[in-house]
Amino acid sequence: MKFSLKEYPLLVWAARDILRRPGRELLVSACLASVTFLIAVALLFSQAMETTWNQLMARAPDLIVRRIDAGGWAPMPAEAAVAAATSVPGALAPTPRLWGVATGPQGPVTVVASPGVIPETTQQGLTPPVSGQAIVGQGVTGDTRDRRLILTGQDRLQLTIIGTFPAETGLATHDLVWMAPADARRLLGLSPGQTSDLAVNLFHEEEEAAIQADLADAFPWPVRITGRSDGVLRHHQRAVHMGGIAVVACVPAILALVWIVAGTAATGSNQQAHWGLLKSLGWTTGDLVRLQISRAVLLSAPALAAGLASAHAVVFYPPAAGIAAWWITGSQRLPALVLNRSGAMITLLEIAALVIIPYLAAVFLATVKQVANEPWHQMMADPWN
Amino acid sequence: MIWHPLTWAFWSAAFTGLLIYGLAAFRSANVFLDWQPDRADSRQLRRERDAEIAALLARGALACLAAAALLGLIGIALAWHWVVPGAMCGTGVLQAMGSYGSRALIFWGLALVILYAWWVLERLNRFDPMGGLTWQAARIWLTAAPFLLAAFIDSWQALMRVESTPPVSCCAAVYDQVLGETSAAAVTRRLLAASFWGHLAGSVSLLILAVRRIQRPERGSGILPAAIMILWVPAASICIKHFWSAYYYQVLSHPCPWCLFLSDYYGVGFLIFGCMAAAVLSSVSLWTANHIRRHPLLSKPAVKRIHQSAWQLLAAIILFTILTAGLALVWRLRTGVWMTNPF
Amino acid sequence: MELTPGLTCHRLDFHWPGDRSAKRPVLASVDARFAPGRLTLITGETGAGKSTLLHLLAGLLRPTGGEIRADGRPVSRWPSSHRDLWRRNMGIVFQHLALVPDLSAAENLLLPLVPRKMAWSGMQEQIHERLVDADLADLGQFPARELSGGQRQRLAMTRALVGSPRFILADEPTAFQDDDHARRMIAQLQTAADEGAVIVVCSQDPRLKGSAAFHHRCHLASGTLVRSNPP
Repeated sequence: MKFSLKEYPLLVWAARDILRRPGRELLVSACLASVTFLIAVALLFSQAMETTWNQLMARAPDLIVRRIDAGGWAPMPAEAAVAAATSVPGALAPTPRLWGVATGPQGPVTVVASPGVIPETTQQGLTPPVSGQAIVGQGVTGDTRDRRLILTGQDRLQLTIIGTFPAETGLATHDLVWMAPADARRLLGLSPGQTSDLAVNLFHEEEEAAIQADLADAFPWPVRITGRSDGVLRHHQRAVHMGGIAVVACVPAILALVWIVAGTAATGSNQQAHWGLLKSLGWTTGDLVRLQISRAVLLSAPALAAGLASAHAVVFYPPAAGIAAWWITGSQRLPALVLNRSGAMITLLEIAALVIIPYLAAVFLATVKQVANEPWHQMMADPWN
Repeated sequence: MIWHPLTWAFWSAAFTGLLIYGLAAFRSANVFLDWQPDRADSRQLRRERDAEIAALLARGALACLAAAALLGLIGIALAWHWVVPGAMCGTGVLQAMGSYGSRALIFWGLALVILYAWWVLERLNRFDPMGGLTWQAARIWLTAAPFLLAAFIDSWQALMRVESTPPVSCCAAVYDQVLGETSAAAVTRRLLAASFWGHLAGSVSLLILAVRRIQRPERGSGILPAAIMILWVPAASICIKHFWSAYYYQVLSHPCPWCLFLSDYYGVGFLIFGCMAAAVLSSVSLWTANHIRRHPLLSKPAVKRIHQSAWQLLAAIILFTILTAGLALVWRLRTGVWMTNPF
Repeated sequence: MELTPGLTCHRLDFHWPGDRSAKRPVLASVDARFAPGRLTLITGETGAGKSTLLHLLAGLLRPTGGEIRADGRPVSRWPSSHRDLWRRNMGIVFQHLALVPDLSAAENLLLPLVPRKMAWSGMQEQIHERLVDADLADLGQFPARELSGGQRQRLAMTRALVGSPRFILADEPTAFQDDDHARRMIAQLQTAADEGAVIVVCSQDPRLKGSAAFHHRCHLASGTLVRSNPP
């Protein structure tokens, strides 16, 4: 079977043939659109989660060094830590970080204090918080408009909220509170000169695994070193598990689609007689199969487009995205998700293989089974004869 | 990784293709066992119907299996390494798969080559109203069965293994092969040199053969291009890995063919190995069409097919050379040195 | 056998499947040649096997013995895929017309043309010309089920002639036609014969039996085909 520009009349005829049984074709089209929607929502969501997390993690430090003791995590002296990390070849710009966990009005929050500027906030016209001020993530205060924020840690602190992080950083800033270093030290019980952990960048990020041993040896106390790839891997695996489980959950829908297609493609005596007539007029078995495949393609294209467009809207555009968030994660807040080119391509390939291939195979098999008969026998299936 | 949606997509295409292959194989077996073209009784009519249905099903199966193979390749090259601890490219994925991964790739390749040979033969058979090659087509279709089954079994083993494997070291897989004992390194160097010159000589020979078949498609042998191809493919693969890839990575030594598939290098691996695949399939087509040329009724269409295949071979080898040696030449002209030394 | 132009039957046998049917063959050792540029009329009683003979000549059925050659090629021995392709040279008028009732007259004429991969505009032109020839130009957009019996039969004939086939087989093509339209249909067949087509008509219509347009006449009885003299 070959398709070329000369198949234009066949395509026109296929479109006409669809219009001869509009109800049946509408049923198949609706089923296809529904199945595509279900699978596409799940796949787009998991792929977008993965891509969004990747983009956020791309700016994370290559390695994080934390001091551990018998009680778990412990603060470390900033100057000594920086000096130790600097002594390791390949480790660049060791930066002490000040952060921890405190209790906020809606539950635990992550407290960070950065002496510098977080670029995403400047795009919104926000300045770094000074003492008594905070910039918060969208999940910190919930829906309340109260500008006061009370946090409890080693001490109790009241801050004024001067702004919120942009929505597109929601995946990482949902429960984040950015405050001045002095406030953070008071809240977390860290004395001046101490740091929560040390962020280290590498000359070659491929050396991440190799350099950890040298880095651990350079510190005079026990440390735990976490690489960026570990965090990336964890989130990849979680996103992939989510996508895979969604596919398994959609298998009954795909099978139902295949049954419906096979059932509608299966012919009564009228259709047998019609095919026998076409063969008597010079249509070959290959032509008939091409006709059926063309019909399937013409029917499926708008259905797939509708399913994909709906799924895209539900995953990426509020308020529909909120419904998807609640359906998939049980949460009412969905971080703003993004999708890149390769992620979109892989998602489309997956949808093609999971929906289009079984659909076309069902049409193909149902057709081949029935058209390869002698035309006279097919024509005799017509009760008129 | 068994949970990766692309894995499910791969199996969806693969099992659909296998199902259709099985249906076609059942019909082909009937034809193979009981084809009597001189008779016109009801039994032969049933066999003719089996042959017609088998030919149709076979095309569908070939499309599905090719799609599955492509999905698997995309999975190994682009998608699955993200979820294999320590993997940075397809090398890490194959390492996680153990020997099953490489074997699966080889069996998929062999199965698809056989199915492609069937397709060439079947297209030529359509020019003979009596279907003189129908029995041979059925035989070739059935020949692919053991390779296909082996491909499926190894694919299953490979993908199941990835779930439970300990973290891989992508670089170790690559560099351990490079840094070996002195005696082994010397042998490796000689092998690399032989591969380099062998692959260049093979490319030139294939170009010459292709041009000759374009000019005189009705003369010449299909065996020679096929025989050269059998030697050229491994030599070219070794050269891509050890010589040509360096010009893409722009580092002195990074013998990893799978990194070429990453988006960092614009997926050029798909193009380079795609050209190699196109060259292999063209030589299969040349060999098959040459074999059929002796059939009196099919001589003309077979000669036309030889002509087309020769052009395809020429284009594939030229594009492959541009993508590999061409880039090295550009580097040499820009910097005045070669990055790799085949000696 | 040499490459004889036209349709040739050589020792053609046919019986329906089953032991009882095998003892009562429909056709027994039929030898005939239908030459190009000639109209042949086959007559016979009801149930003699005229339609069956036409279906065999069209390749819709396979003979149980002997062979049929078209322009010297053994089409009856070809597998169905090649016979289907060869049938693009064929125009058939079925006794029961076999039109698609929910398609319009013009769309029914499109059916034989679509697989020939002609240009769309060329198809439209041919269809229009043929509808005018058949006096159906005003009815092109009407569904076939809304046409009268005679109009449907003219449409069936037009469908057989569209595409200018090499072989034309017609089974009772004038059964529902008045004298004027019957004459016009014979004239259409004559025109096709003048262009080199092989034309075989099966009919009991006395107007055809008495027509001088037919070059050869045969009579089918007891499974054999014999030449008969013109009236």
